[in-house]
Amino acid sequence: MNERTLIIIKPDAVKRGLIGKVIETYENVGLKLMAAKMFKPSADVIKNHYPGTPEWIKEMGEKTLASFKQSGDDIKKTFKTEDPDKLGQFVYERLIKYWMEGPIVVMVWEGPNAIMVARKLRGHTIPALADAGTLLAQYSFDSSPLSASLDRVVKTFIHASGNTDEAKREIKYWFGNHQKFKNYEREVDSLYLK
Amino acid sequence: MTKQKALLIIKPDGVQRGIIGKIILRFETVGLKIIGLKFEMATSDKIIVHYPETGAWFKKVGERTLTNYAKKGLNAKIIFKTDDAVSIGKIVKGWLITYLQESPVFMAVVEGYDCIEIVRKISGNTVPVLALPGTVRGDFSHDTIDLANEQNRPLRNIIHASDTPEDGEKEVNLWFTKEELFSYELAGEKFMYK
Repeated sequence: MNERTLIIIKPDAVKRGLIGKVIETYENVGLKLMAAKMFKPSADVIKNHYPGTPEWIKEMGEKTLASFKQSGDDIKKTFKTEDPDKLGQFVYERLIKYWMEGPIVVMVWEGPNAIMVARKLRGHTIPALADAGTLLAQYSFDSSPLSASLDRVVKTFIHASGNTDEAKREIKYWFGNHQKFKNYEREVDSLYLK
Repeated sequence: MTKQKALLIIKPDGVQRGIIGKIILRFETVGLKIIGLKFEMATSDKIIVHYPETGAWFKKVGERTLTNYAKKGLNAKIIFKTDDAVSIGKIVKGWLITYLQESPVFMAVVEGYDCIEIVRKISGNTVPVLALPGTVRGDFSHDTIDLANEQNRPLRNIIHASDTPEDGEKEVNLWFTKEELFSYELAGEKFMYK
């Protein structure tokens, strides 16, 4: 039940001074910080954070299609295509560009159901669709039509691992194979974990 | 006026009580820039260098301790087995090394004009009971020298903030490599300095 999840604060959130807010959110819920570093990864490092397979690229394109459908905007007018493979590739390239706008903060958080809890608090990856109270809803109004009109991706500003396999892979990817995380006691431990 | 760098260390009491985010937020809100951060166990080797390994430092700390004991009518000799200021300073340093290793610590490098004075103002008096409300130590702690002495432990004061511009440079170089520091522009920067 005790899980670890990877959380990344992306460049726009760092530049807006939201590092403390994000950390506070995860600390308040009782998750335990296990690792953190500020970092400016190269394009390749960012590229390989994602699976990058043809299926994954297609899925990204389909997500973009769905979000345009939902908002009623004409995708052909913006992208000159409605082919999910091409749309996915378009998004992938601009995603890397987004991550390179400045330094990021990469963290590992631990706790019961950490993956689900961290995602819930982060909210829907399209800020305009995120539930009130989630970090994405509180700190952004970004949407697909807006970002597409400005030739960029939606600025999701927080990455949170999606499932246990993803979390394991991502933690290993950003912190290495042999990284040992030092356990310590938080004030909530004796109340909920004993 | 030139930009300065200051090292902040959120000590184990701050980490274990889950108030890292709340503290970091205060430095971000005032407009200082976090140009590097990490979360890890502080090694004894580095802590030894961090608190100056000089006779003058030991004497200063030892004399302060002796004065406090005298004020309280306590016999320092019973606790320290000596009344020599330098020897007592060395014992206190041992306590500090233990304290800083009770859990991993959150270290951040902040940059800004007159940064040292600002981080010291925000951190508050190093003795929490004397720190004003609105400061980190005043708002998050209430430890006293008397209580710390009575319990044979160092004062738990939540945060370390560099004392002078020279200390700032020295401490940043001790805990961070050049590759771990980043240059970027805060979103609000152009409205702060023209």
